[in-house]
Amino acid sequence: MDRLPDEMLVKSCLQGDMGSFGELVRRYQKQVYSLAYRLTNDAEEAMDLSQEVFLKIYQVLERYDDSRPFFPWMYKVASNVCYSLLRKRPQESVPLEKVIEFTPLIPKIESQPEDYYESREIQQLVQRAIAELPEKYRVPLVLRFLEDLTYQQIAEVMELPVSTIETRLYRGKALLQKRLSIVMEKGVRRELSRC
Amino acid sequence: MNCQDVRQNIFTYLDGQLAASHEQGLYTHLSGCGGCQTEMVRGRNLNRLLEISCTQVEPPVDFTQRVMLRLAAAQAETGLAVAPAPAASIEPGLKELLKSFKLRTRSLAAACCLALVLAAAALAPVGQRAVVLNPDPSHKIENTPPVTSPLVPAAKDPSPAGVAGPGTVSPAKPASPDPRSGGPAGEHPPSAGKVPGQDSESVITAVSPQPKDADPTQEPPLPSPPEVNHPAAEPKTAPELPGITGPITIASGEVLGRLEIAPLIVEERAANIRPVWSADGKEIYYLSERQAGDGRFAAWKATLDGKNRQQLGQIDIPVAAGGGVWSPERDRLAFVEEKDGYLQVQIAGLQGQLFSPTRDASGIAAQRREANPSDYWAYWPVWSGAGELAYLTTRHDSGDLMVIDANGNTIALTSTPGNDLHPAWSPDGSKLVFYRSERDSAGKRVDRLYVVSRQNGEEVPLTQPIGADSLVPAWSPDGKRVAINIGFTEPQPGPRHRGLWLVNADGTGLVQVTREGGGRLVSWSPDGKKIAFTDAIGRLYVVILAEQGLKHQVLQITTTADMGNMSVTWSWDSQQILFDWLESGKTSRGIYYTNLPRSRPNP
Repeated sequence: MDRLPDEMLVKSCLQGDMGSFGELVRRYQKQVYSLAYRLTNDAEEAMDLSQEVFLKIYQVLERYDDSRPFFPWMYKVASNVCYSLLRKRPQESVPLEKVIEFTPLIPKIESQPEDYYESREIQQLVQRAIAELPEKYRVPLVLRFLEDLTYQQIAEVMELPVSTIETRLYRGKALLQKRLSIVMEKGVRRELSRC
Repeated sequence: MNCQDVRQNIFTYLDGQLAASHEQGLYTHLSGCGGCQTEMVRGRNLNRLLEISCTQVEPPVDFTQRVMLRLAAAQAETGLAVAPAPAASIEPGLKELLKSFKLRTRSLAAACCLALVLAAAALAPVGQRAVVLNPDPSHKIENTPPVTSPLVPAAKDPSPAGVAGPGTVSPAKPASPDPRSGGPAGEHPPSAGKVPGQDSESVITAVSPQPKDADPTQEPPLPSPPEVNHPAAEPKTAPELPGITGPITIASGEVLGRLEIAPLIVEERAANIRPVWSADGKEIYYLSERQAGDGRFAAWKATLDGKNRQQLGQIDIPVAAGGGVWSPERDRLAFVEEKDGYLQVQIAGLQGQLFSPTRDASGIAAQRREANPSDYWAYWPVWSGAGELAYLTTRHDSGDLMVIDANGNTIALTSTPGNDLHPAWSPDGSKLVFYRSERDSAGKRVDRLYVVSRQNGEEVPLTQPIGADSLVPAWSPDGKRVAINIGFTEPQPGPRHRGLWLVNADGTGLVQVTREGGGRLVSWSPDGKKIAFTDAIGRLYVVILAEQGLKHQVLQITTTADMGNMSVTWSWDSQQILFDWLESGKTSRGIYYTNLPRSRPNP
């Protein structure tokens, strides 16, 4: 027996059944919270941001076209809300020129364990570096790697040309390479040592 | 192609997004450029780093609750609603979006919703005595029984449940066929008892048990043949009830006090909902996530003190779309589930039987569902006291009302362009009141209540159009009045109404009882002197109806927002309510109770 489809829950919600909206939140909390968390790298900020996302989803629920799958629509709203709110926040991200001058993040790991990239410390450095990117690079990067969206899909979410998304991803990655240069060098050496 | 161009193409290539026409150029350049080959390795490593670092994370265990509370707060503060509010940055292109949207993970992290918090505290009583916060002596409430210990059975009750002592819930008769609307059920399980913890001021006397001859082993009366429609008799024009006459008057409306509540069945890792008294009044039946599938509920029972919890039968049902409703005899549950490609109302018997009274043998239901995901063949079941089942359907392109009779036949009660919602049976099962939202000839939205005859489908308006978009009705136990919980969320021109209202069954005397209200729950006490209801953010109230010319007394039961689907059930003596609630700080809904002031004697 199947669970109730999303579209049914939306309809129930539009008829006043708040429990149905609660179920939608429950179903997609992980995806939305993950998006917010990867964009902020902060649990509290992620909670605030994801709450805003669900409030907006509730607010515009009537616009959902139930002939289409619910999740892509919801995720677009979520991405859009995150992008809009991050843009409106006081500029805490480091500007491009500053980032370039920024001291590279240095891992404390001296040795090169077999699972170097998989080490918790390395991942935390990468996550921090992502969260400190300007939001115009950060949002497409997270959408690309968190949910494996294509450039075209990211362009539709951010309502920008595909070429712009491609450029932003390139620049974002270039900035990450600079910040993670030491991490990357170790990784490259390890890769080369395997050859 | 120079190295700078190639570097961007490398990243695009590694993301699998480089156009085929550019790939050959990239390969050609790489074959002769050691620097760009190194960049390719670096780029691949960065991608790998990002893939393993940019992963999903588990949200806090109380994430859903926090979102719903935030939503409730926003609604309270700003009137946030499901509405066509401006959202220009979101709207463009939505409908064309992401047909091939692929996600790595869409699995439901259900277990993360239930965890970790406050198990022991959850079972501790909230308060030791009921308090009425009423500074005005003229509004003094006669009896405020403490809620220390859950309910004490009647001294005269010879049954085991009648042994006096702390920790039991007062035996009671189920008061409603539908825990959502709480209309009178017509079933009267036996019970006797007084309100638990009653002190010397209490005036409730023991009442002889009134056993209901419910045989749990008896086969439920509803068979499950394929659904056969028997359209109601035409025409539907002969009104049984007169229209609205006289002005709308406002009676009263202030909250005079607050009652304390106590937990009865609250668990850390499992929601417990939909409490009802058993048919013999000696146990509490409820639905629990314990021993149920992901997102589903099993039937459980407990003694009146909330202890000795045991699973009932092999029930494993979803609770959504108005489903999860106990039958009057408490031997079956009506629920809603997608099955065979469309939405069905099903009936699960506690003995393991499963009936599909809305099964469609023609294939039309699945076809409609396939063509339109928002087509709902059958949902929102409501039991009558006689065991008939009304439900809603969109099979005629708008919300309509159907009934399954005792022989399993389906009768189409309404079939109009209007959207029918919130049906409630009259106590004698002869008619239903429901809310219809429709458009008039000028395209203007019209919201009002209708009454439809169960026998012949004749329908008449019960109220004049009301400026609201939620009208939840419930019949009084004597069938003479209808309580209406009126709310609105959508911005509309014209006057707005919200609150708890009453109207006579003949459509006269529409009167506002209190401005509180606007939620989806309204439930009469068996003596017809109290009404439980919720406001727009899910706070529970009870109004004690006053005699003519006196002020009604409104008591607030819960003070925090709860956007779940609360259900309420009354004790036979109208002095207790059981309800499910998501207490602030808890991770799961639980079952609570409160004691209420005694009803005033009839003059």
